[in-house]
Parts: sequence; C-alpha cells; structure tokens
Amino acid sequence: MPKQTVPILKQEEKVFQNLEGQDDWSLAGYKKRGGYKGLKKLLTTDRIKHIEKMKESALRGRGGAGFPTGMKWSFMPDPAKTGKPSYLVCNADEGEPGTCKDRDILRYDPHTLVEGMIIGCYTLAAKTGYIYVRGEYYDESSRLQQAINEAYEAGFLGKNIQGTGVDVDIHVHLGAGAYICGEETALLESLEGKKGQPRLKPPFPAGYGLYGCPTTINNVETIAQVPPILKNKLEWWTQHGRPNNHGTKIFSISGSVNRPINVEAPMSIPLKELIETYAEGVIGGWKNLQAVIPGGSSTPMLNKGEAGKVLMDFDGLREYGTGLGTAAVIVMNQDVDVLRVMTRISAFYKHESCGQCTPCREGVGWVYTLMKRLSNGEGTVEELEQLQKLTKKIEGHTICAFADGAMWPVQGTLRCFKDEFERRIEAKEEVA
Amino acid sequence: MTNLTLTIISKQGEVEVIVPQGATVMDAIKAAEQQVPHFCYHKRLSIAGNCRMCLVEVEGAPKPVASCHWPANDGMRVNLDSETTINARKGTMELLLANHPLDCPICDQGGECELQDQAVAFGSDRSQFQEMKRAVDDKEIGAKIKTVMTRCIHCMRCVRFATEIAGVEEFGATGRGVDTQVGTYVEEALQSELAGNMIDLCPVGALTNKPYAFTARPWELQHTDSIDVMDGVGTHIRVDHRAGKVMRIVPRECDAINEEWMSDTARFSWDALSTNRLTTPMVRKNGKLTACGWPEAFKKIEQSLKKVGRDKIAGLAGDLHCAEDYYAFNAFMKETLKTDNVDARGDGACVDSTNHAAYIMHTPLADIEKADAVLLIGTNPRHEAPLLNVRLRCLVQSGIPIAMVGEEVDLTYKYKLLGDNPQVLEDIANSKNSFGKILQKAEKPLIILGSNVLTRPDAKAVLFSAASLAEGIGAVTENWRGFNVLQRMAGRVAALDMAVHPVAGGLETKGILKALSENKLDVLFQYGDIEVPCEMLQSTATKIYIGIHLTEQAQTADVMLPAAAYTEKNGLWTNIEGRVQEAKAAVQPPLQAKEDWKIFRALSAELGKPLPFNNQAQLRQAIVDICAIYNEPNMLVQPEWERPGKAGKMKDTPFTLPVTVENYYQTNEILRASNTMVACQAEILEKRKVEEAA
Amino acid sequence: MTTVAITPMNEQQHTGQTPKTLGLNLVWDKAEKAKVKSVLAKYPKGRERSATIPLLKLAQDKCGGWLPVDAMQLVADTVNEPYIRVYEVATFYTMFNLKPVGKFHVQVCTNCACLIRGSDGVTKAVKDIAGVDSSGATSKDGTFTFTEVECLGACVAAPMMQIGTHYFTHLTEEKTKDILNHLKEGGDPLKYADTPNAASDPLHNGDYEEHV
Repeated sequence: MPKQTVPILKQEEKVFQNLEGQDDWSLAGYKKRGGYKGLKKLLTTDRIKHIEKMKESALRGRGGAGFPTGMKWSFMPDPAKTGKPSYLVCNADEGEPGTCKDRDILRYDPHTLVEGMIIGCYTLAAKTGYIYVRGEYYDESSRLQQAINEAYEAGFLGKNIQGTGVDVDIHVHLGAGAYICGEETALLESLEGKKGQPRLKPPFPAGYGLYGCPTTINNVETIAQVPPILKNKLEWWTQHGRPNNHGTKIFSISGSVNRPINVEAPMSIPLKELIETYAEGVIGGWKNLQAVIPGGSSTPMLNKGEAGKVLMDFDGLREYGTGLGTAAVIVMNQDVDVLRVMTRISAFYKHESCGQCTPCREGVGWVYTLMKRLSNGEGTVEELEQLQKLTKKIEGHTICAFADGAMWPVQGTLRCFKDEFERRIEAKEEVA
Repeated sequence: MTNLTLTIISKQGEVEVIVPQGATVMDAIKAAEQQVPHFCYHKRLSIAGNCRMCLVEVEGAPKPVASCHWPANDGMRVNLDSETTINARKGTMELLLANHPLDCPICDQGGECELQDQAVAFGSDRSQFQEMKRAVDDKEIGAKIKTVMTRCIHCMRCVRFATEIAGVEEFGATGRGVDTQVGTYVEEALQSELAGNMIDLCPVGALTNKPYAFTARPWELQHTDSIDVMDGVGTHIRVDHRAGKVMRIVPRECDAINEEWMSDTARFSWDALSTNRLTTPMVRKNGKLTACGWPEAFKKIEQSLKKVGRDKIAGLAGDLHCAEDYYAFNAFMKETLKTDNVDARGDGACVDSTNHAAYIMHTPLADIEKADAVLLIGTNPRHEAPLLNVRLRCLVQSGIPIAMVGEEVDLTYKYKLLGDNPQVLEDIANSKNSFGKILQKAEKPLIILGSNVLTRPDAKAVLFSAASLAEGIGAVTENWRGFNVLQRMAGRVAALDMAVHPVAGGLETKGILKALSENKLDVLFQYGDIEVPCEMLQSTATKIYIGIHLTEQAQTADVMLPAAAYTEKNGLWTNIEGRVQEAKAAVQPPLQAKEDWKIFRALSAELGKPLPFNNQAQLRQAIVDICAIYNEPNMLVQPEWERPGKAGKMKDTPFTLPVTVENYYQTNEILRASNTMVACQAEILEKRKVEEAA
Repeated sequence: MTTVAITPMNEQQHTGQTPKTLGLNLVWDKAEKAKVKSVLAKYPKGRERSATIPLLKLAQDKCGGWLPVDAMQLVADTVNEPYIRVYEVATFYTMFNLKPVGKFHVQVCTNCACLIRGSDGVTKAVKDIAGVDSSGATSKDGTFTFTEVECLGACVAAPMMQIGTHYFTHLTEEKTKDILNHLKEGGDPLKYADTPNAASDPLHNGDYEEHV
C-alpha cells in the first residue's frame, strides 16, 4: 500500500483532500474537511460574478484541451432569452491511457464533484446536470450515486437548495465502453442514446448541445475545483503555477516509477521534481530513464534530456512540442520496449476510432499495422518516412481531435526513436 | 438578409462571389462555378461532413475545413489550389482507396462511379498502401439491391436516405471504427417502396441494382428521356437500352415532380417489358389462340362486327395508356363503331370530363411544402403516390399537423386518425372535431382525397362535402389551391381529359359488366387489363383484346392485337397534377406489335370508316382541339374551380383502399408481369407471415 | 531491450454469420420494470432514447451477460425507437457482449501503463487458468471469458483487470492466479477487489447490486 505523500502542498491548499482515500469519503467526512461550507453564500451571489472570478482564476480545463473554463462558461446564453433549459454535463468518461485521476475523485472524494456540480449548475442557470461516467466505473459511480443521495437528503440538491430558491438535479449516466465519448459532442450524442460519434461544429454545445439546448461540458476535476476557487481569495489559487497556468492539478504518475501515484501538486512543477518527489523516482534512477509521455497517450513523448528540463504546465510542455493533456505522466525506463508500448497505443486508437471520418477510420488502422510491422523490424527504412507522411494525411483532417491525438504519439516516437526503428529493420535484414 | 462576399481562389484566379447569410463554403465555391469533390454531401440529405473529401483551405484557419458544412463568412478567402487543399484531397482519396477493393472491372458501378471519377480528377496516381485490405460480408437485403459491402466507403448517404426521406429506419451503420458496417444488422429485405434510390445515392458499387447486375456496362447504353407510368406522379425517368432492349430505368432530376427520386415499381419493373409479351396478332381457332398476321386478325374482327347492332358493342379501357391512345380508342368506338358504350373508368369512378377540377390535384407537387395543415381522406399516399408521400413526410417532419379520415395505415410518419368514414367530414366542417379548428386556422390547408373515394356509392356526396369543406377552410382561393383528388393510375387523368366514357347515354363500366354477365353484348373491345376479376369479363360476346401482355384477361379473348408499352411509343402522359408530359419511344415494339393509335387507325380504315388522322401530329392536333392544355406539354394550368360532386347523404361505411401492403407491387399488368416485382411482393408477404407467427 | 511481437487485439473476425433473433419473446419482469421506470425518470419527457445505454446494460444483465438481438429489440420497444438505432448502439460500445460470455468475464488491460508494469504476466495467468489462447475466448467449462481490453483508468495501480464490476489492481502473475482460483471456488470477490461497493446503484438510483 502507498506510503504517506511528501506534504509539499498543505492539506488546506488542496482541492482534493482525500485523494488517497485515507479519510471518510462520505458527506460527514467531506463536511469535516470543510465541504459545503459557504455553499449558501455562493448560491445567492450574482452568477456573473462567479463567471468573472473563474475568468480571473485562469483555470484551464483539466480534461485535456486546456480551454479556459471561465471563458467557456461565458458562452452560455441566458435561458430567459433562449426559452430552452440549459445543461451542465460533467465528463467523467475518463479513458485516455495513463489517466486515472477522475476515478479516485469519484471513489474517494465524490462530494467535491457534487458540490462543484451544484455551483456550476447555478452559475450556468442549469436546473439539471448530468454526470457521464464511463461504464467500467460501475463501483466508483456507485460511490458517486451514494454521495448524490446524501446530498439530496441533506438538502444540498433538489428544490430550493438551503432556502436559496435554487433548484438543481443531478443524474448519473453510465457509458458503455467507448473512448471517443470523452469528446464532448460524442458524449452528448451518447447521452442522447446514440452512437458516440462527434458532431460537426459549429454549432457549438453552448448554443446547441444536449437535446439541442445550451450545454456546457466540463471535466470532473475542473468542476470539482470550482467551489474552492470561488470560496477562497483569488491568491489562494493563483499562488501556484505560472500566469495562465495557475492552480493545482492532479498528476497521474504511472509506468516505470518506484511508486505510481495520483497526486495533487502545484502547476508548473518541473517534471523531474514531480517524478522524484512524489513517485519516488524512476526505477533504476533518473539515469535509467528512456522516455516520458507527459500528458496521457495522445501527447507526444519526451526524451530523457527534455524530461529533465520541462515544466509541467500547458505552456511549458507546448515549448517541447507536446502538451499537458490530462497530466498523466507515463514513465518508461531503459527496460521498457518503447516501440512495443507505442504500437500498443496505436492499436488502442484503431480500436477506439468511431469510424465516422474517412482519414481516421481508414488511416488509424493503417498506422497501427505499419507501427506493428516496423517496430518488429519488418519493412524498410523508406517506410518510416511514409509513416511520417501518412500521419500528416490524417492529422487535422477530421471532425474531432481524436485522429490528431492518435497521430501525435506516432510522430513523437518517430522523432525520438527513429534510430531504434532503423536498428531493428537493419537487424532483420541482416538475418535475412 | 445580409449577403456575404467571399473570394474563391482557383487555378483560374481569384473570383469574388456573393452568397446569402447561412450559406456554406461549398455553396460559395459552387457559386464561383468551381468544383469541389465530395461523397457524403448530398443536397437533398442532411449534412454529415464525414467523408472529408471536400476539405479546402480557408486562409487564416489553422486546418482545412469541410466546405459542405463550414459556414461562409464575409471576407473569407477560400483557396482551392493551395498545397493544403490539394494534399488534403489526395490524402483523403488515398485513404478512401486503401481499403476499397478496386475491383472496377467487375463492378457494375464502373463507368458511373463517383469514387472512380473523383480519384481521376483529384487523387494521386499511386498508393503506398501495402497491407491487407478489409473484407466485409455482403448483406442480403432483398430482391432490389445487390450489396458488395467491401466497396462501401461509409458516406452514410443510404442510411440518411432511409431515415430522412424514405422514413423506413431499417438501415444503419453497426460496429465501430474500421469495422463499421452499413446494413440492416439482422438480415431482412428492406420494406421500403423507395429503396432503389439508395442505388443512385451510393457513390460506389456497394449498393447496385440487383436485377441489372452484370447485364450491361453504362457506356454501352443509349438513353431516352421518358415518363414513368407505374403511378400517377409522372416521374421523369431515363430509359437505358441497348440493341433495342430496355436494360434499366433510372430517374431524371425534376424539382417540380420527383426531385431526383423514383419509386421502386418504376425502377424495377422493366423486366416485364420483355416478359410474356403479346408479339403477334392472334385469333381463336378451334378454341385455341393461334398466331396470325394483322390482315387475318382484322378480317376476324370485321366478321364479328357484321350485322351487330351498335348497342351490342362495348369498349373498356385500362389505365396504362397515353392521351393519344385514349383519344384514338375513344374515336374508334364512338365514330367508327358508333357506340357510346365506352368507359375507361374500370373502377367505376364517379367523375367525368365535364369538370376537370374534380379529378386532379390542384396543388402543384412542388407547392406541397407550403401547406400548413393536411387532411387525408380515404387515401394511402405511400402506396398510391410514393413520391407525394415523400413530400408529405418532409412537411410532417417540419411540424405541420396532419390528419386522416380513412383506414389506418403506415405512412412512415405519425398522423392523427380522425375516423374511418365520410361522416367525420361533417364534424370537421363544423369544427366539432378539433382538427377542424386547425384547418380553419391554417392559411394554406391541404386536402387530399383518394381515388377510391370516387368509387363509393355515395361518392358524389363525399366529393361535394370535401369540396365544400375545402372552400370553407380557405383551400380554394385565388392564392392557394389546396383541394386535391389523387389518382393512383398513370392513364386516368388523360382518359378523363379525352372523355373516354359515355357522353350520350351509353353504358358505363358497371352497365357494360352487367350486360356482359347477362350475355347481352355481341362484341367487346377490351383495351388493356381492367381492374376487375377476370370472370366478370367473360361472356358470349366476341372479345377483342388490345394490349401488351398475355394476361389472364387477354387469354379469354377471341382476337388479340399486340400493342406498344410506354417505352415503345411517343406519347403524352398526364400526371396527377394535370400536367401533360411527353415520353419518347426508347425502343421498337416487339416483333409485330404496333403503336396503339396506329392499330385503331388501321382497323377503322379496314372497317371502311377511317379516323381523320394520318400521323401523330394530326392526332395531337385533334387532341388539342378538345383539350387545349395538350398544346403545351410540361405547363401546369390551374383549372377553373367548379365545386365537384353533388349534395347528398353520406353513408357511414368506412373508406377502403385500392392498394394494400399485400398487393402494392402487383397493381397493374406490367408489375404483374415483372419477376422482380413478384419477388418483392413475395418478400413482403413472407415478412407478414413471420410477424403474424410471432 | 528485447523485441516482442504485439498481440493483435480485436482484429476483425469474419464469421460469415449474421445476427438473428432467437425467438426469446423477452419482457421485463416486475423488478426490472421498476428499474426501467427509474432509469427513464432521469431524462426529460420525449427523450426516452437517452435511456438506451442503461437499458441495454439492464438487458445484458437479464440475459446472463450478453445481448441477443431479442434483448436489443426489447430495449428498442421500451424507448420507442426503430430496432436499427438500438443495434447501432449495442454494436458500438465495447461493454455490450454480442455473444455469450462465461460466468466470470475477465477483462485484462494491456494498454501502455499496464503493459509497462507487467500485464503480460496477467494475461498469461488468465490464459493458463481459463485454458484459452486468445482474447474473446471462453473456457470450456464456461467459467471464464478472457478479453484484452483498453485502458480502464487505474494506471497508477497497474497492472489490473476487471471482473464484473470490480477492479483488481497491483496484479502479478501469481496474484492473478490466486484471484481466479478464489473466484472459481466461489470466494467473495471483495477479498481482492479494489473499491468496496457503496449502497446505491448508479444505473437507476436503486440498491447496489454486485455484478460478477
């Protein structure tokens, strides 16, 4: 079992104070940790002020794309003008390989999400919120459902919450196994009972979302971070991280580390420090590091040199041609067959493509077969060039960003490990 | 509405175009008269944006956009000739072809394949794909459509057509990603009367015409523009033929009538044109029909007419003839034979040529979409005029209220059933029925009366009542004509226009049939099949059958004269709107068969009283003389309004329908002669049986 | 560093057979009807289609862990949608099994984080115990179905597998064998399972039901 975290962040600086499940996950435990305190005040404050504060906090969506949350919220039209209900939909369809933060929020600290949903719904003038949880998280969503039930009983949900006149209902909707449903419009389609195939945009969900009504979709972590941001002074949040990358973030550190862990840490922390402080270092020491995927399987990998320098935030990783994504750090040391891992990731994208757009449907499978062949040394060096070109024929040519996410890791591999591919191809040729 | 100005950059240089707000980038490109390749986009279907073939570079955008759905913006600069655009196209085309089998030499789509054409125009000349291609099992979806699903490029046009236009949600895409398969999942024959359109929509050879399979290559075919006669809509068709044989029939685009759709009865019945045809005159010798020459047949007719009083002669005409033929038949009966016992209303409809307003649709098909409330009376438009039903369905989808008085049937959309008999009309008229209020409020109400209503004993009273209702709710005004009588048979409007019915006290159909049963007639001229049981046409009278197929009714004749089918003659056909349209002869009548009017003209001469026309031009002039609208084919003339029918008591017997699910594919002699149509009918009956068993 | 051929996952298999109804004439029983009602209550009126996925899950449980065409039709009739729309959904999502599965559906994650930390040992253990050699196969006695699945979101506890609704994490080849043998002998999965259950069922707000 994991040992106690090195307490870099003080408990009161954390959004998720029970991320490791050491404490009581239920309402009683959450309240003891300060949960639902000040909820009534937030539900009686002008919602415009909330949106303004969210903008000032510079919170960027934690689901992968890093879109500023305050700005996203400001796109929602006034329901009095549209004559349609508004919806807040929480994206808990966590499926990006390497990412497992939302699962721990759901099972160890579900009330952070429930409280976030209540305030989120109020701020967006939505009377109903849906939490779309990936179907595999059945036990976890059972916790969430229990937390919601507790919140109803305590009067934090339902009609006239805490006498404020605010009505909010929250429903849990379980998916059934499709990574693409993490794409927000695919999620809406799935929630409407259809295949999870992304919609054409425009129109965007803020204008035409769930059931054709204005809808905002946010990640679990993003929504859970809203209450403390609104309750505390702005500095409480902005003290962490560089400008435009403020706050704290859950990092999922997996792979070849001594202690894989989900941990909440300040943004802009150096990657090396993150791995060494929280995950007790790379197995075999930093010198044994081979490569790091910094933000979930879609983000291109970093080689050892880059990993030693990069800062873990949106802008820091972009400088190295990759991204923060979901902040799922997958560490690969010298014992790992990187090409095999990357081929496995390609297989994942082939399996999860929704099949709607031509380049993705036909291309991702092609890329996988090439990866499979070339990583086994079967093929020619020229085909490496062809693979690189092929990724460019797919990237940026589809309705959603899935195909981009499927191509970036391949491009990253070709950038960092082209020589390894060549070595294997030549080895095979020699044998022949 | 504001206009947007865009710049389209192509090889030809920069062109500025102006498009209205709401237009897409593709609209703008088309306005600039430039081409943009595409597969999934189709102007009559919703936008899917999934083929990614229409990607173009919009200056300033981070990646190429799909022009079919991307909104045009003022000042936008669209580059059709940039590296980004060209690479995007080439890339998509290469990926489309990666798993496509490229079996063009054995593909029926070859030569008219959008993938082939666009690969030539926009693709690359080589592929780097070295892997195994995907193979997909073919699907069995009935007698109409052959599937080779390995060729499918997943544009989803067929799925969208089935869902949005045909209204038969049986086609979908199951599975995911590279394993996505288009089909019905659980194997079954498609239950749509419009399924054949999916063949036209399919840009590749995944869905092809099953009976046409491997019979011709498109470049061998000659094309002749024609008009379909399997229902009264007057669908514009193109007859494709080779060496004097019709090989297939496809629709032509016509926004005013069939948009670009076509019913399956029209598309798949061509095999009947060379099946079981009458190809030579025949006379009965020793009780057996025996082939003979035209002179011998004529002689036999002449003999049988000798010393027969003109009131002992009668003529019945079927429903598959063009205006010229009806005119010639009518003139032959009334002028040559001097009998008034002539009728083309085999179903006993109560309307005649005296009131044009009583037997056509007053609302042009293209104006159906303007209606804001619809009342159907005793009709099933899905079976009587499938393409009218498509338009009605479109209307209903947009939220227009629709109700029915009559039998409850599946129209592919929801409607309100108000009752099953004419007395409900009174409740509607005095707004006792809530739908009456909806009709009252409507600005452009639409009433459609089925042709079977006209055959009821109280038909005139119902017609009168419906017309009065139409007047009462504002369906007959200067600006809006919403009163419609829907004829289900292609020849009926022309037959009525040509007055093929008694005009001087002669026997009507009912009277002729009665006289036959009492053996009071000596000679019967039967022109095509009549929609009555065969026994009712049997008598001691000498029967002369003029027609195209050796039908059950033809086999009881004493003399048979082979005529020309609709693809074998130039003819004027009048559709349900009263629109006169010309069909051109695509092929020659088989062997000794002759164009119908020529038969009557020749026979009249043989009988010593030649009809006063020697060629088709003279014949058409004669027609124009009695009915001016035939002077201007394709024009739509709004008839003078004269309230049809006669006030009277309406009964409470329910409305009935002439066409049901059980006989839809077998409603005329051509359809009955078609093996494909027989198979389609069998499929439906089979499915019925299974459903009933469950 | 060694080069190992990757196990092909979910490579398309063509059976040449098309799905057929089995003539089961399924109906919801009384308890299921109550669940259907509470699922439908989550969505606005006229949006019953939203319940398609939860109801397919319910139907799958009803049919012993897989979805015959009959069950899809039952759901389609319940949400008042054409059959094909439900077929599309049922075949799109991986959690719907289109053929029967064993008593324990052992789903082993073999994606990156688990692969790095030894999912090969886990799959080997499962294959050995179940006596099967490929993903999607069921043991002869019908006890285990082995499926390789994509990332299940427990990467910091890799390698892992899911059986029923429970996650089993921090696996080794030995531990996997212990768990499977324990289950085979009728043992309580919670002895090894990751998240103890809570009292409420997320599908329809009712009481939690363990699915193994």
